[in-house]
Amino acid sequence: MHIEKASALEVNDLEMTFGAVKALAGLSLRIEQGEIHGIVGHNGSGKSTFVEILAGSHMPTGGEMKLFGSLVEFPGSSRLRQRYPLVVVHQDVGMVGSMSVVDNFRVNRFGRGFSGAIHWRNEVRLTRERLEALGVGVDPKALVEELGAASQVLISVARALMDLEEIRERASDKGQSILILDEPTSSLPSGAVDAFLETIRDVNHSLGTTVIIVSHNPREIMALSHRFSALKNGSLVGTYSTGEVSYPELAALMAGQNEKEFEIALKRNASRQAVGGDDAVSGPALNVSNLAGGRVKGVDFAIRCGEIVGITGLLGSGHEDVPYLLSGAYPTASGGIRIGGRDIHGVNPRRFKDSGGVLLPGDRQLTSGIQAATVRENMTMGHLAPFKARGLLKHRRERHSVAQMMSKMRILPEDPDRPLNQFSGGQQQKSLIGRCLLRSAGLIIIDEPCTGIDVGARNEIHSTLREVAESGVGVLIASSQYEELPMICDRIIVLRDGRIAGELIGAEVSEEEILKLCYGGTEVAAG
Amino acid sequence: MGTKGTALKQDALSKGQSSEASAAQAVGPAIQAGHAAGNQRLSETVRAFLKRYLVAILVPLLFILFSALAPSTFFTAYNIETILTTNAVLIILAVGETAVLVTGEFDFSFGGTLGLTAAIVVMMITNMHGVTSGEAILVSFLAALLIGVVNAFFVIKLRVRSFIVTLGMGTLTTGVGLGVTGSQTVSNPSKLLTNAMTKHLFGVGLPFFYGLVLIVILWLIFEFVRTGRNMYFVGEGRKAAFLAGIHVNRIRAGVFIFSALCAWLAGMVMLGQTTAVDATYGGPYLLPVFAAVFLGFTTIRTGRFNALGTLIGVLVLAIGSTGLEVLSVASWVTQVFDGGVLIVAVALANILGGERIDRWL
Repeated sequence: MHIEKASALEVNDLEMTFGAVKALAGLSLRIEQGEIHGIVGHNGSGKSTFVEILAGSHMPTGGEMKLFGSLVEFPGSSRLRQRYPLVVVHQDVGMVGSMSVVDNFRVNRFGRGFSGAIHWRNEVRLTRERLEALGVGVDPKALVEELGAASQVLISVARALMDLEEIRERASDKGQSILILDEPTSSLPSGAVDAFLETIRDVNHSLGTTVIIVSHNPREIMALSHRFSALKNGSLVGTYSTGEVSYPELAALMAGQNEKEFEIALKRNASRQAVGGDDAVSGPALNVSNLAGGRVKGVDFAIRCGEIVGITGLLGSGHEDVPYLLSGAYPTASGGIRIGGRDIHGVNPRRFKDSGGVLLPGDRQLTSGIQAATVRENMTMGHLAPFKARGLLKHRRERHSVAQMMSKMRILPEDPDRPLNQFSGGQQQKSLIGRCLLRSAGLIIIDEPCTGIDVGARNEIHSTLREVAESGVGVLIASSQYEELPMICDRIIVLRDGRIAGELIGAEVSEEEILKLCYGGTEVAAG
Repeated sequence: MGTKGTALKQDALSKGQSSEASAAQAVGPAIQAGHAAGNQRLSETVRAFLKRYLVAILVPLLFILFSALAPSTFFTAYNIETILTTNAVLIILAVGETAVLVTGEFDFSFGGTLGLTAAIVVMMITNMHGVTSGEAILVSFLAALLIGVVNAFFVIKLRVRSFIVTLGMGTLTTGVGLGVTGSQTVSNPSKLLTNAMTKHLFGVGLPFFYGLVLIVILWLIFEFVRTGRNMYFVGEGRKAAFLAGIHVNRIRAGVFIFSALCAWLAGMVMLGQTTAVDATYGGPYLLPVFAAVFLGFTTIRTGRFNALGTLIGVLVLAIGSTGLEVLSVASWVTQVFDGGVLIVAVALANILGGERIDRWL
């Protein structure tokens, strides 16, 4: 049984909306003094938003926050932010690579003499002492970019600890402080993780600092934290003592799936299996052999015409690079790519397109959509050929095709000449999916088809993709939305560390199975 | 310009409302609700109209204004012909710059290219025995081509910002031009150029029609050719365009070369129209060219650099500065006008271009 201790940080009914998206829906959470508290959850669970609020970069739309028992303003609204004994170490650690360790470590905190000049010797000594206390033996004058990722993360932790100390001194309050680590190990090589976790345990133990660690990796949470809270859809699933929960239970908690959606997907798959089989619609849409490049270290797979295949994994597992390697946007280290049975040599986006492939990248703002251009221009981008006669564009023909697609996809308002940025996220994504459909392609590759859009639009996109697959097109979907993939895919390929960890077909397809493959099965024990 | 715009807007709005109001009284209250929506739609239409044509309307407005103020000097056939003839160089340069700006790049080197190509022609004919006009013009054309290629090479292959590359190139070519001419103002020995550039059609110098032809070509490309559409994509979403299989770098290289060749043509026009040039003659065009193109951004295809907009931008500048000269305001006023117009044009582009502009300014 857990005995309650005094609280370090408490939030109640925290709410945060971005436009139509509810990132936090009444999150209440209590973190105790002196503990290491894990925050787990998937993309969109609200954990990043929670950290942003604590860091003061977002103002919540509702709720309250208590620090060491007393009600305080949210850091985002307050000039006192610098005085709260709470420091966040961000995922990207916030270092300037081309400057020295001292510069990065003491930036904005340099001690100065009477003349106003910086005491460099003191600064170097102080930096060295601070780093050695954490077991980091680097030359303070070295450039940060020359150091390994592990040292960089530790330097930022040391800097955060120093800030905490200074904040307490200024406030002449020798009480407690809170260190918040946002995905601290994401940039570390796997060999350095254990040592890093040990350092954090040490900081917590010897300095009594309360540590909040946000992570998508349950192993870390199991290994490091005393207690953890699982988040889903912007609210708390529950807070648990680490010793009381087994690894599979934790994985299930993180999944927290919607049973109804799961059933629908299963039925869909079952029906496909019955009708489908190997000799269904037939030929190959895509064959990939020994593909490597980026974070991908050699994968083989094939997609048949009429099939929807998902490719997924944890962040950084390499699945997110696959669409761009296949379409030639990223350089490949090796690999053979065949589209519709024809080899493509030296693939680049142009050749990929000419071979009958369509790529829909994952970022509507930057890589897939052109926000300032109209829906019409966005839909026909890259394939204006059907709307040309004697070298000139036929606007009427183009507008007509686009209008038809808009009504088919129910994109409102149905005005082909309205700029893309005047539509909601869901309508934008439907328009861009429309681009893929407007082309008679043999292979459609979509990166994150449904991020940041409402359920209605998502369902429409799913049914449209199913329809286009049934017409004999091969579809590949790269996504980190584990709960979404089973709804739409016939088959799911899971990558781990750049290689295929496993493949799920038909009835095996479920969020839980995906997670198992992502984390490498159930062999990891608690603590 | 701003006050005029609002006055115009209010006028148009009140007119619309009053006519609607009387119509409603006549028909009776039964359809009042539907009519309120109609009213709103009307004001929407008016706003949309102003957004597209506010700057275009300035052309006749300024023309009428100066004609009223100076009927005997401004409103004469001779003056109108002179305005069009003398602004041919500006039109040609602005066409090149429009193409570059559409793709999200800058070209500041056209002034230098203009001066250098003109200098090459003069010096070759004067100093090299047996060189014909045609040969000298061909060499200057190749020089311009080279400048465009070098600009493109540095921007695309070496990834230096076009802002920097072309700024440097403009000064560099001006320097070379000065070297070629020995820093002298040299007179034009080419009969061929003089003939081609001083003939008149309907009283207006031929070069104006060359500019007009370029505007039409640019318009055709933007509206009806795939490359034109892709040029906008390159400017508005380069990454997305690349991923969609568009030849982004080929287009970027193309516009630098196109712009350099426009500058060459402008150089030939200037050489033919004036009896003497020096290598720095292109410099003063820097500001009016940008002012014209940005004014063009705020009209016709509001929120996008476009061919007809550029022509309108040139006309606004031309009428404005000539009008001020004719009113015999001191000559420094022209510079105040050009500079002021650039700032107002960009501000207007911000207001009217709205959601589309943030990428450029």
